[in-house]
Amino acid sequence: MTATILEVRKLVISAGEAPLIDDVSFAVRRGELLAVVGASGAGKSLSGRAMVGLVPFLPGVVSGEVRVLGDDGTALVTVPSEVGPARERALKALRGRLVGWIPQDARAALSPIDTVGRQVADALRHAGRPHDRDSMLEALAQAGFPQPAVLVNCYPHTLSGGMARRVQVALGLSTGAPFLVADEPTTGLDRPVQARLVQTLRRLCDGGLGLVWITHELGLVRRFADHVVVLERGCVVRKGPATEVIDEDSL
Amino acid sequence: MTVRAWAWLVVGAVVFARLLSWLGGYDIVADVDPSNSGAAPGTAAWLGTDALGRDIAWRMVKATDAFVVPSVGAALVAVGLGGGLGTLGGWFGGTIERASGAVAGLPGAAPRFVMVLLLATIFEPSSVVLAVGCGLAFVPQAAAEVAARLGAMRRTAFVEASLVHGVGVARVLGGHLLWTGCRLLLLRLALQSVAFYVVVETTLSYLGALGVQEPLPSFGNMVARGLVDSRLHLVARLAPPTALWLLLSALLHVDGVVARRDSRRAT
Repeated sequence: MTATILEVRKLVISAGEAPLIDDVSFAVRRGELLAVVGASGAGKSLSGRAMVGLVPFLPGVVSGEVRVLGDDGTALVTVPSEVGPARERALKALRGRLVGWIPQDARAALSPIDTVGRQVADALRHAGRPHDRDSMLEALAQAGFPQPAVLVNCYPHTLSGGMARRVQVALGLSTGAPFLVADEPTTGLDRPVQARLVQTLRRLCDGGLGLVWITHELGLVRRFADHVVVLERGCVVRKGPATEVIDEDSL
Repeated sequence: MTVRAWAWLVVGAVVFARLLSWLGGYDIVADVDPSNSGAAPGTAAWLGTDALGRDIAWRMVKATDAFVVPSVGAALVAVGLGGGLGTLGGWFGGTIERASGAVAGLPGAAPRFVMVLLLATIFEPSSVVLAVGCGLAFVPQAAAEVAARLGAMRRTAFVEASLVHGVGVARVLGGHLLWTGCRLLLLRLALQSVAFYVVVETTLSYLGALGVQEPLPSFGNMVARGLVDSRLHLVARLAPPTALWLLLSALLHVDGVVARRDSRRAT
């Protein structure tokens, strides 16, 4: 008996002849916080976008697949690399149901004409979950807002960067998906806000969420992540427990 | 009273006139009374009478039959067909965008008015043919503008995030992109095609052969009669062109207001 696993297998992404991601494989279990680190241009965000099917054309996924394995080890969903109906069906089963996403530009990823409350309620409704005011407030509270009621009628342009990211966390959680892919959720935030946000994510992982955390923040990775994958020029150059991979020298 | 309020007042008056025409029971044949020809405005006929003694005010109300419903049909054709083809092209891009652009561009091969005349000549000239023709005339513009806007929006972060959160394509397209990004654009296209229908219908009725024929009233044939018949009272001669001018001004003004709002939203 193993925990549910989100797995990226032998992912290759290229733009023309140039490989941007070359044979990248990694996996994250429920309850695990897996950090994907590397220099800018190493392919972290591209890998994360490929996991949720946002790299369809150019640059395009050449080969590899994304799978979610159930508790008994059988594949619940396999997203193939070939563009076509099979991939669309698999993405429909994956997105929002098994994997949520926290995009890099959190504020731009919120609908500009809807209030925070409406967007969270919509996410809950699409997931087939109760979407009344209490459920909405609970989702926001889970994302670390101490007074979620204040936010309900706010529009995205009135939120700070940290608040927008927490709203994205709330949206990701609202789907009820067991896995989240967070693309640099702490970029542009000051240290205390970064730490609070990652503490929230860590707490959610301790509660059973599986998280792929794409980041540059090695200090936070060493403190909070379980495992780390290091990418360099589109290849995995190192992976292992965070405390072993991120040593004092790396910091 | 603001200019915008005037515009809405005129549009409201047209809708009211159309309802009045529908419910009022005015008989265009029974109203003929040559003994009352060219009467001045009064309580019996507020805007006077024409050469056959017919009540100008009632005929103006009845003239709305010629354009109100058909022009809405033209707007539906422009927005539905043009918006639909533009949505296909803008969302899918690539070959589908080129194919839908080519299909949508077909009515644009001839100038708008010429295309409507061609259709009216090929088929039996009727309000349905004119409505379809006027709607088709705006399909190239509608498809191109919607495709361009959707193409720019489909890769935005909030659209990608919605898709990844499991929101269906139909909801993203309808709820987010078309409603959020294109509704004012589509409203403008609808207003423009309504105004175009009014101009086409009035012009053809003014010229005679392909438009509304007597004894049915139209602003076009009323303006034509008023121009040549100097026996009519000045108010009776000026009322139809003034009403027409007010209507077109109102439509174009509302179009301008919507355009400014659309531009502000886009930026």
